[in-house]
Amino acid sequence: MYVVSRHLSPLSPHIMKFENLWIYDLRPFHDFWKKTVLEKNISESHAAMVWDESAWGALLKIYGIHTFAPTKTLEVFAQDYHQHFNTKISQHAQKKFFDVMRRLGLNRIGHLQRLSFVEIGKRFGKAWADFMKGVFEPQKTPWPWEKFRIRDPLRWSENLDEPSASSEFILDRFMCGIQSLAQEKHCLIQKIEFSLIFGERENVELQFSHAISLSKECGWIRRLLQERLFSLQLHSSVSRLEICASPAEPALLKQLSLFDSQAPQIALESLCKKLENQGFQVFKPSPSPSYIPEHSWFRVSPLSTRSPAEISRAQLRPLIQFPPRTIEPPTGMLKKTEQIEWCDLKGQLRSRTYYMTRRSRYWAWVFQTNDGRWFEQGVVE
Amino acid sequence: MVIQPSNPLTQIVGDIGSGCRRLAFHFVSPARQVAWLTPQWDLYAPTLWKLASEYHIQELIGLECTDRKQWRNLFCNLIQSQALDAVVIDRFGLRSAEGFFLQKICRASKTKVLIIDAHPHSFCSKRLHLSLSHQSFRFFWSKGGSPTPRHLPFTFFQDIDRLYMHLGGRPCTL
Repeated sequence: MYVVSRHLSPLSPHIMKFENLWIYDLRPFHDFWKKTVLEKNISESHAAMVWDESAWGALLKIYGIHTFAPTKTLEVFAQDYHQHFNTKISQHAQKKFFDVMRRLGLNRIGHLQRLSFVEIGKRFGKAWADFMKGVFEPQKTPWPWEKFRIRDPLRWSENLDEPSASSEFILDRFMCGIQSLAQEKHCLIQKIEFSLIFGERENVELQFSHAISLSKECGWIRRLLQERLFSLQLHSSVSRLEICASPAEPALLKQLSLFDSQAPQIALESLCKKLENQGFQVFKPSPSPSYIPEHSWFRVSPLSTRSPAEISRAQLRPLIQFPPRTIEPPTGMLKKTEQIEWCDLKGQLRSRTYYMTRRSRYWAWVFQTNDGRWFEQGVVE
Repeated sequence: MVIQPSNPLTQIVGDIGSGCRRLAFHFVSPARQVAWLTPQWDLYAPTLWKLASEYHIQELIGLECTDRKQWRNLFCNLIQSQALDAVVIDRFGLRSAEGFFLQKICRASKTKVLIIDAHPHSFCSKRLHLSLSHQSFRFFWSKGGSPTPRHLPFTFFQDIDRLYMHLGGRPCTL
């Protein structure tokens, strides 16, 4: 189950930010906890939360998109979608898409179902076809998930030995704090909150439109803070100073250019994530509790925390394997490699004895079952 | 003066069972991060990952892509990301156009590309022919290397015998 809200709430560790909305993935949790957590959050925050079985479904609900809604409703969602996922569809092209639909007399969202996804893809491009697929088949279409990572803010505080109301003194102390934070951790900052505590709390908040470096932009921060502090009228002496700096969100990966001489280097994890998002099957093996070669491993994402633990019999088995196919009993020399026995679902004992045998151009990996039949399952490499 | 391409493509020519896959890591060594691409995955992944660890490869990722239309996009993503030291392109049966495209995107990249196919390709700057006998792999370069045949030991049978001896049994032949 996915929940969409306009405010950030501690509903799930799996969060995605989509424009000004927050999408929470609640699928890993039991139904009881989903219900309890949702009820609690809705009653506490009085925030509008919408949920559905798919992320697409939840987003459609929050945007008010349904079969009988006018196509104009979809326009807003389409604009946000293309902007967020950087599909390279300009606003002009978006407007043109909906103009064409209106000209065709397709004024309600339900009317758009008359066009097939293939037709939309051919006429307007794959991005539109994917988007429309998500709108009309929300349960079947995967939502391109981009995990949002909440980063811990940097904090600095100081208790003043002698409470002071001097703006210049407070400014100097704050700048010392900024310098100590810059030395402590090198990261880009989006927002800094300066707090002056004198019985009650007075906050000075500096929010930047772009991420800034504390060490490089020290002079500029000083000027901004000076301007704010000098306009404050302090009624009593300040006894404690606090700084809370919120790190900026990491920049999105740059689009790789086809013929760039110097393409930006990206980490292997980011590459795997990108390939998965594009629908490629990226994997590493993970062992399963079976000795039968075809069931002894399964695919897991390279991003998963499971380590590709070794399968003890990997050394005994050839590199190329395929589903077992029946063969005539082999003639010539056979070299035994291993024997496996197990009970099937009916409780009958099954066994396989594996051999290698020479074929005209390669070594084949064959096995004999307990009922005497022969199968070929691989090629030795 | 011979003008060498900055990042030549290397091909291993050999049929199924010739040892191309087992020796692939030998020819991409000393790579640390490798991707293994194939249009249809019929490799026993635990053995492949074990071989990779023997060649001190830290990260190996497997990729299966059946859709031919997506291949160029995939190659582009992998090579231009510069996240990998080597890419093994296994049995893709590339056409000339796809090969020259690969050559073009590899030119400015440090990623080593190894192509495994049964038939030789003209777009590869280095070409190696490989075959497997009872005891050894026999290989020679038909392009970009020494044409003198060389041998590498094939220890699979000895490994099995050794493992059986270690477990207290004895190798069995019928």
